[in-house]
Amino acid sequence: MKNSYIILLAFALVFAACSRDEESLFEQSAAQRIEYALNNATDVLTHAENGWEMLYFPNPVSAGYTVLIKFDEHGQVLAASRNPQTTKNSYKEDNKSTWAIRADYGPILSFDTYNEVIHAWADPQDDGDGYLGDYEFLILEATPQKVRLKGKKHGAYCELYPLGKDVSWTGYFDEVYKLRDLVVTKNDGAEFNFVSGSDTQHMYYSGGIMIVNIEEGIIYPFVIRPNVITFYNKGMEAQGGNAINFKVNDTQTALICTDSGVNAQFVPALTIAEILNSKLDHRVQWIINKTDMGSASKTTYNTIVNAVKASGGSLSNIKLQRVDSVKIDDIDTIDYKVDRLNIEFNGSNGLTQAFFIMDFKLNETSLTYSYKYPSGEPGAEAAALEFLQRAGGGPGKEAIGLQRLKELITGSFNVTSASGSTLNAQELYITGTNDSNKRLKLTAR
Amino acid sequence: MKRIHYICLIALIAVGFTSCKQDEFTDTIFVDPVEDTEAYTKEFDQWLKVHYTDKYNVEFLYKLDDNGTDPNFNVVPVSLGKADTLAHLALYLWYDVYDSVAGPGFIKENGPKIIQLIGSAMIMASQHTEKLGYAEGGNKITLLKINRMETNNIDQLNEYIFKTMHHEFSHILHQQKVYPKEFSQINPEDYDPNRWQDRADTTAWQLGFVSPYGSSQTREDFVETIANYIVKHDTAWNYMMEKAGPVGGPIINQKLDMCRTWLADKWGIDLDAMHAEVQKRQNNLDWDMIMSLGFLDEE
Repeated sequence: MKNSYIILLAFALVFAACSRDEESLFEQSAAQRIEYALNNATDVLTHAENGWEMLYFPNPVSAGYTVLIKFDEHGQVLAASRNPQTTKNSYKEDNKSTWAIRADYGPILSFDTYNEVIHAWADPQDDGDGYLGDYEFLILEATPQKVRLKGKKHGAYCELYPLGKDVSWTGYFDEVYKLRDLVVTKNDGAEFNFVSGSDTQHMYYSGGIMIVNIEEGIIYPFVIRPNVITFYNKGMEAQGGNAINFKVNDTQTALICTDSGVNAQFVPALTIAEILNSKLDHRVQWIINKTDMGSASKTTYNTIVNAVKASGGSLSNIKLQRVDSVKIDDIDTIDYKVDRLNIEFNGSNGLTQAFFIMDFKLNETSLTYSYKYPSGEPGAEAAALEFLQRAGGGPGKEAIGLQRLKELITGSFNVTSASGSTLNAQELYITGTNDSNKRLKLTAR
Repeated sequence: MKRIHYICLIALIAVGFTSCKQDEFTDTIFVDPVEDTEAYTKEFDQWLKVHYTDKYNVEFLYKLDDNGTDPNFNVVPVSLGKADTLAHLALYLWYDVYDSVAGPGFIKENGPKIIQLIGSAMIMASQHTEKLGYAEGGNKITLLKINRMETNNIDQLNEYIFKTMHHEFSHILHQQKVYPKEFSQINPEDYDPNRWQDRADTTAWQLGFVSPYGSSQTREDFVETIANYIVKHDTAWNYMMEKAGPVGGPIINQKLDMCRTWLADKWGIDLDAMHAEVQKRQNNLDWDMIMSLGFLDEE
């Protein structure tokens, strides 16, 4: 019996002494694998001949921007951008800084000396936060076709795609701006229906994001690229998959999803007449184009211009605008909106603005615009009177002036997009319902 | 039967041992970094090695690693141009000053071992203050807001950078040899660690502090006194003393005397000679000469 114990003990000792080899999940050591990941990332990043197109989302709740970036194998980096936020819409590039790949929790891409383009989003500025972007990124994926990065500190998200060999960097941003102007410039508040199969969701555009419900945080940031709008991360759920990439259709009346098998599009939720109204609500002014007019409008306009000129003045601009006003009575303060014409002319006090209160009535596709009275703002009535006298042919002839002004701008009009685009109607025609020669072109300003 | 037992046992033991093979180890699991002889910053790095690492035993960190910063603040790296300019200036207006006054070897032995540059400040927006520098562990000085440094403005350079360096280095010194405890007994009731930033310069001076920050706590007061005395022009110092008035003026002088004695006794440094040397160098500031100290990349 005693022997048996000894034998058992001996077994235990022999086998314990021999630790069983764990079968490794990986063929290489952790250090070798990190080394491989670092080398691979370096290789991939430096081999894009004309650099990379980087889609940069500083954070998940604001607009994305594109940066073009080229990694030199000796540690120098060239980056360029053109955007409203950090470059004030001008092309800017900086090549006097460095990049490095380092091991941290994983391979890290670090922009470790200051680059005016790259660090503009990470700079704390005066409030300590700035745009809350990053300058060190975890490399989530690195292949010659695509690199994905995630900001180490704030989670800025980037996707990089190799730029075509012959793409000019400034030309790239010209293309971006073409699409930007077509879809988003001065288009805050534009309303869209996101249509996928039989589902429709209402969204509106503001500051680089599509918004469903801002209080609930249902928002979809996107970035504008040449001919393509790309949504943040996985975009929107739609019939056939995730809708991420969109292009403008030929008639410029919709944004169509280009992801294969996905059925989705954005169509304007408003008619052109409603857009005219909506932009006024967002404090956009509509300026009457001085040259592109119907024949009847041209005659009236020239009569006014010549009369003002004959009186020694000159007419600068006529604008349709909507402003906030406040009515105070004994009980309440009431905020309300006022439609008015703003006429800029050179008169006896130099450049002067005359205001006329107007009545703005909207049908689905048409507008009735009528005259109410001169604005009661301090000085405005005197300016209005002076303008009407000049437009009518002199003191005492203000009624003629008013008649000419009414002839030019009041009445019932059909509203159409001047360019045909209904996505962001920056230029409109308002055409007399009963007289197609009474036609004005309005430009958003 | 017993015999069979033993045979089995021997066989099993044999199996046990053979299943145990010896792993072969390489010398190291890490792969040696390959030096890039054409690195973009090679020339600057070599210059730093000669003028900082070899001469003063200092690692001059200008490429930022966020791990080396305070995670509570958002910062950005320094630009290469500003790093280069500062490296040259610091040599002339700081390192070589100690070299000539305290003697060669002093900084190599006692000086900070790491200088770290950061492009932006550390901004405490809620308090309307920003941090321009700090010292850690008695061997590392971090200088901030270097991207906003105006190289043609020596007063600003002194105020924001070199004063900060003297300030932080003085912390390093008193962390090794304590300052006299009498210093903290001069006007202890006037320190205000929470609201010092609301004090105007003149208010601080009249209370007997050389700066509002000096009025936050004793150890800041001590190093502020040293740093301000070293970098301030005589005219600026005299102006301050005049404004400090009959109460503040004598207190500042009393503190300055303690600093002077402590530096001389404990460290063999002549504070007035430091002040004079800095003034001399400032007055003879010659950018061509400074930049010819070595590499300069086009900015």
